[in-house]
Amino acid sequence: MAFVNVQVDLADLPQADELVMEPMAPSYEREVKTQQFIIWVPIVLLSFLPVLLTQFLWLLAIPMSVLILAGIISRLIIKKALVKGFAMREFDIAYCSGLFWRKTVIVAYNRVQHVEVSSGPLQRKFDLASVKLFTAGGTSVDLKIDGLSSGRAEQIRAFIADKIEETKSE
Amino acid sequence: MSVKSANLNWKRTSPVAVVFFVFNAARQLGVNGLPAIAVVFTAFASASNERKVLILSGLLAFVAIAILSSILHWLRFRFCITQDRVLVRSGVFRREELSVDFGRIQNVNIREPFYMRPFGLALLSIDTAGSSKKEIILGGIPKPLAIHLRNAMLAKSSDDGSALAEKSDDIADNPILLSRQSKDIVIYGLTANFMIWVAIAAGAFFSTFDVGGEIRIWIMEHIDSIAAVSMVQDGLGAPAVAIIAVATLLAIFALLPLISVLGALFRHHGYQLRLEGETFQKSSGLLTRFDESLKRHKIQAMVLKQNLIARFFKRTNMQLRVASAGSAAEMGELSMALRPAFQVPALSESELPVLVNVFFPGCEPENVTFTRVNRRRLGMVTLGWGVLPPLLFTTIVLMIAVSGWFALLLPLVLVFAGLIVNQVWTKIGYAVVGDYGFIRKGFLGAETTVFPLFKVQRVDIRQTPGQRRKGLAQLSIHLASHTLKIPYVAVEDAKIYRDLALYHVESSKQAWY
Repeated sequence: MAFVNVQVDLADLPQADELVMEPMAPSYEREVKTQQFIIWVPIVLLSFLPVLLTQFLWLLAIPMSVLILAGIISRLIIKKALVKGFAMREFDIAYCSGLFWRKTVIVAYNRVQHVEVSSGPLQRKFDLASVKLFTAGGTSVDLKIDGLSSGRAEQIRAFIADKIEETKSE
Repeated sequence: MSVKSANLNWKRTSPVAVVFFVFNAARQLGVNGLPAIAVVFTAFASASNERKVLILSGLLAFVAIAILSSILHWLRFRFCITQDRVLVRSGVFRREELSVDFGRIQNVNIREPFYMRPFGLALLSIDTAGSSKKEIILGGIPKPLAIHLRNAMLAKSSDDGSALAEKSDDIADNPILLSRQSKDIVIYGLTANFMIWVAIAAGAFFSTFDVGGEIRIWIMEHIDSIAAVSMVQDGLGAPAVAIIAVATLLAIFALLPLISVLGALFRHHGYQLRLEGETFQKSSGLLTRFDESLKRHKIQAMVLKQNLIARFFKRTNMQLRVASAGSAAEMGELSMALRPAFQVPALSESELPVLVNVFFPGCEPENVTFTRVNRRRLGMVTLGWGVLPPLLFTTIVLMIAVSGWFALLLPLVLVFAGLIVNQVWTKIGYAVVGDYGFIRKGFLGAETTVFPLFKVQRVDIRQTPGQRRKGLAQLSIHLASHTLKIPYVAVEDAKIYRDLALYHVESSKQAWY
């Protein structure tokens, strides 16, 4: 087995840091907002129940605080969705996410075992889809990109599937 | 299946294989039926004589059924080897037919259980690749046939080594890379598991306080009939009994290393490592002989372990990890995860670099200088978030409930924790030398993982808000065997490590598996 040890100049390495991240599809923001709305409306409505049942006006504090909480949490979740970004290079795909805890994941195409495109009912309503990448390392799903337009998701899947085929045939 | 069944030469394993099926059944029962066994045992102890006969005959019937079913299993078990595949028919009522291509075989191991050795028989276990990770075991075939099959299968499953198998059917022809004497194996037994020493230390620590007294009471209550105790007490008084009790406890703990050493001797006695083509072959075992093989290109990572005891003996235990272990575990396939790694036990300081080079050509572990992580951040975050809150809480509770003097505990424990964190910090390190990455961690000892950079599966960089301010990050490197994390790395270093690993992954034409 001939191991070639190429001298690599660290300054010449392609740097993943210089990537320009592509944001998610415009309708993704609307999808997340709708999702938050669907989650919070029943909770807010339920929080009125104590007031309606007991007629104590001071119990209005419960729906008030729930509303404030819902506002803060959903705002953060929507903001989190907006800072997500991904970038594709010739040999790998990078995905960065997280509002406070920033995380960047990079997967090389020649380590991808398989690619999956999935879309839930709400996602389909907004013509969105998720791309999932699986490698042999780490947890079951290595990279999951939500909030892609379904056309873009399919495009990415086909591109990566092509790349996998390429590395296999070599 | 396109193969015509009529042309196939179906074979049966040796009748000795019945014993193998019995052992298998017994092991399954041991794992699944332990509560039932306990119930039967207690029922037996408290039963009347007639009941005892009933229970005993029930047990006998059970054993008879187990043996009968083993015989049936053996009768219904057929295998067939063709040019390029192995076929197995098994199952008594529910028939199952398995067909595995030699090309899809991951690994082949030969085991010679003690009950098969007198008959010159062996057990061939075949790991297959793919989503349906299933192991085929041919129990009770002649050993020469097992070796021949192993070589043929391994040759077919690699693209490069097709000519190798026919060359030699006897691995003994190849030069020995490493052999271990009993002394080495004993040292391995003593150093393989650090927890036995922790248990002894804890036992010694606690028995000097209270446990000794309690055990004395326990002995007085339970083994009162043993005249010796009372005689000792009469003659020498209560302190002597306490000392004897402590000694008994220590003796029990002292058994742990003995068990570990015995286990190591049974497993690794007569350890020999050989290289045939690109396949490492290892044979060992006192009663049951184990023949394991490992292809060089299947190695995902090498783990070098040196705990405190091993450091005393100046030895290092080497482990070679393959893909199935880590990734299969997360898919809920425990049986694969429990498979022990390929062990290379108790390497001396002079043997270590030689063996590292045997498995990873061009790897120079002696030239590694580890870069350390940010000490201040590691210390402050660990102490501030991990140690201080529970410590503060305990101290306050103790101060209120017991005595204000416990306030003194706070700085003492904090200093102690600080020393521990500092010790941990000295062990965390990362490096890249040539084509290999090195990551080290530990406390009193050290565990270094060495991996070819091109085998990396995925790289993550995480930053908490605090880390972002200080220009630090956590680097996670996912290998097919396991995941490595380095906390509090300078973010530039993390990025260089990532870009370098990706460069190797993307420019390498070698398959990682």
